[in-house]
Amino acid sequence: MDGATLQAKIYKGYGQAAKRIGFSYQQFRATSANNPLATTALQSLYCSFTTKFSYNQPNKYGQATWLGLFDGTNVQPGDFLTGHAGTFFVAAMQDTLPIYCVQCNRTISVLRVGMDSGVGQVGYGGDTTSTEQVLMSGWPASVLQGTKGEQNETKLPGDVRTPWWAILMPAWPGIVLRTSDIITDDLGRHYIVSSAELTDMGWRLTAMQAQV
Amino acid sequence: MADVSDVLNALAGLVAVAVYPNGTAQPSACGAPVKVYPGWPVPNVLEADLKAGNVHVSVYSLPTERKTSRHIGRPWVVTNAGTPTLTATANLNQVTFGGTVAVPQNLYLLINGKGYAYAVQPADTLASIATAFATLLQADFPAASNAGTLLTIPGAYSVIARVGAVGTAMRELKRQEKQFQITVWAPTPTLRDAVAGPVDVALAVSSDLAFTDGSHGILLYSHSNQTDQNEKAGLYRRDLIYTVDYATTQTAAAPQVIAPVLNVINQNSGQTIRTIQE
Repeated sequence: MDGATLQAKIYKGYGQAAKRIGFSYQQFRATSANNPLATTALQSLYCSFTTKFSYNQPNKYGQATWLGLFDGTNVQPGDFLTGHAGTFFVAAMQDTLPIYCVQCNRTISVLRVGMDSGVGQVGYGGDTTSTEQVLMSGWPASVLQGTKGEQNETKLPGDVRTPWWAILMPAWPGIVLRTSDIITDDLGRHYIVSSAELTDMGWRLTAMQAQV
Repeated sequence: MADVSDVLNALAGLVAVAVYPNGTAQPSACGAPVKVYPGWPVPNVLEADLKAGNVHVSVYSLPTERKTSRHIGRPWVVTNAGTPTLTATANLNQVTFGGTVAVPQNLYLLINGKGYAYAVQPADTLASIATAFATLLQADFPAASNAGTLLTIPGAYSVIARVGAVGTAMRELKRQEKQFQITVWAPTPTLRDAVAGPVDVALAVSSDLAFTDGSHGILLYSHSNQTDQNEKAGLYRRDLIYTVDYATTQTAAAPQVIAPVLNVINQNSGQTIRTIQE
């Protein structure tokens, strides 16, 4: 017995268990930086998502992460599983450890403000929808409440502090997110990335919601 | 109309000429690529450009402002008289139309002391203008007709033809003296000096700022700030603050007068004695 053999057996066991308690999910793998769920599903597999293998704890508010019970033989971190309980992405598949998944509650796009590449007198400098270039689009992600925000710039009488959000999403090779990048979601919200942490589990971002 | 955005664009243009005296195809005055624009830098682009050794110059207005209006009316000034492209030549009782059709333009025929005006339409040709006049004259000259561009008016003993183009007039509604900040964002102190120096000279060399609507602004140096606070991020910044006294203007179309009318009025009774069309 070595690590690889043990790992194969563990995943096979996960698969057997999921076949009895799980639901059928489709597995997607991004082929570009755009719309990973619009690709052809790699396979259908039985999955069960839980917080503990003893199955005696519900997933609570503000908790994006789950343990995934499925046959991970042909699954990689960054893959999406969509099915009965929504969309999940596989954050980490650590040796002999449970598979770490993140539930996605939003579909987001990441944009970056550009400027004219020329020299001399160029166009107006600033962020308008026409100067925003799409880096990634249509990615399922977890967007959950973060810390308390700060005073809105506009300071209208009806304004309150703008909220901050914690965003988890898979990474796409070659695209490095940075402070001041813009995220839009399917609810039409607009977020500005404050910190962007890249680990083997993908991007962990904090972002300020921008609104008037 | 001139407003704050015109001042920003005019200043950005002056700065760009100072930075690229030989055009953007040639190296800039400082040797590094320089972007000049109204507005503020975009963070990720500025950072990437600074790392690449490029320079940004941004132009933005400050809130500081002083009203310099003088309330002595708001007279219209013709900034462009307009040039007609059509011709109408009267010869005895005939009028020949020539030139090229363009709108807006007006044509006027004064026949036997009565005026007939026609506004040129976008789809018109020289012949259709002549036809339109032949139709217009039917009531008074039933025999009027045209052959192509030649209009013949039997029964006319005095024919005068005039063409009027539409020019532009402008008037100053108010004047204000506002501060504008020209900011140099450079990756090294040397580059900052190499850009800010020529820019400062170019802005200080003339106090006249001409705007596209024909109005003029007065450009004067106010003060400047230099900060190295952001050197840890590789940014050296200098702000040049200039005041511009510029007018907010209103422009209007100014059609040329081609149909003067003279009224002779009895001063006692106010009754019109005679109306003379010239």
